[in-house]
Amino acid sequence: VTDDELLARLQAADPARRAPAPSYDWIDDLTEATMTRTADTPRRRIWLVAAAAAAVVAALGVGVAALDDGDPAPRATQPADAPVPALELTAPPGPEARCMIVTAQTLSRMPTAFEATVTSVDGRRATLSVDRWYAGTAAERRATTVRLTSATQSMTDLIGAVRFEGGERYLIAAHDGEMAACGFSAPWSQGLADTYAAAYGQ
Amino acid sequence: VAERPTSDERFTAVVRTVALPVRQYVVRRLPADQVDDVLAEVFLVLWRRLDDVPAEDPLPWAYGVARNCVANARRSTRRNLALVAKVTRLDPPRPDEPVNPHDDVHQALAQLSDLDRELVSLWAWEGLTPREIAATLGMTANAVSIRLTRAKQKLGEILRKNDEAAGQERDEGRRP
Repeated sequence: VTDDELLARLQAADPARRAPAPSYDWIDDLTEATMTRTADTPRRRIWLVAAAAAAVVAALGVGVAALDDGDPAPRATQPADAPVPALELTAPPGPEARCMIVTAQTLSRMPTAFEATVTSVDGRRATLSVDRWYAGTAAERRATTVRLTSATQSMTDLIGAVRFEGGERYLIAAHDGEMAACGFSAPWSQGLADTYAAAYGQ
Repeated sequence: VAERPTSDERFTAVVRTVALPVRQYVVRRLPADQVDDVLAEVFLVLWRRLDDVPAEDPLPWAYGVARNCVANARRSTRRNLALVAKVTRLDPPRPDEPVNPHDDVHQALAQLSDLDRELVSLWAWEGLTPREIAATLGMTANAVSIRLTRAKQKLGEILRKNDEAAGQERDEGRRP
């Protein structure tokens, strides 16, 4: 197969060839919506919910990951007055059958880790204010608020996970937008804080 | 002070340049019902990172942003796979749905690694040069050239094998 033949065959199979030609209106509409939305509302959550559509709340992790994950471009210096989105995490659905022993080594595999204080608990959602970042992408580390959503249960009934109560301080590790339960995430204790410090070299 | 007029103008200029090709990029890689959401996300990233958008040629950079947004959309799709599987069982595809005449090409592409498939797609569908592909993927142009050549060879090989297998099946089908 020559390059030209391969190119012709690929181009004939181009999925965009069959798609109807889009009008230009959406560009101006979306441009306007993007600028208005980010200027007026300090939170991107409304938009994220729309993006996640009717599906499970688990999709909410998307927002933050979108900004930095494997980003090929040089690090952001975002526009000075651009709002910093809250980090969205989901809580695991229930107790895990087996848990790994929490050590600095197992913990260090969690790409997101921070210490935070619960500011509110409301049904399936807990909002936390970040006190300290141990690990996270640049975009995540800009977040000062974390919203944790449980897909299945009320936040206070999570068996085997973490019981969140207002005003309490927690150490939380997460992976792919999902909080790690099984002892990785727990109310703050000196012992766990030492493990976090060891895992992330702080 | 007026509301960031220069940012607004710059953003408008950037998206007018990149919006259509980026839309095509997303259309090629995701189901139709995810395209609008992902485009909204791409716009948002472009807006938030406007200072980082190259003034000279923003398109490869914008493709890079779109690539991440597509990857995120796929990740969240995978997270919901259990749900999808459930729905699919209840509503299986009808057997009389039209067959895409280019399924062979898409099946061959699916056999490539993610990076190889993206290299070949950026070359054939987005029509990028190795230098532009490099800017999109954060690789060097040299590495792109080498890897793209290999990926094209691999794809050609897969297509050839599949064509042969298909030909054999047809021949066998004709036997009495």
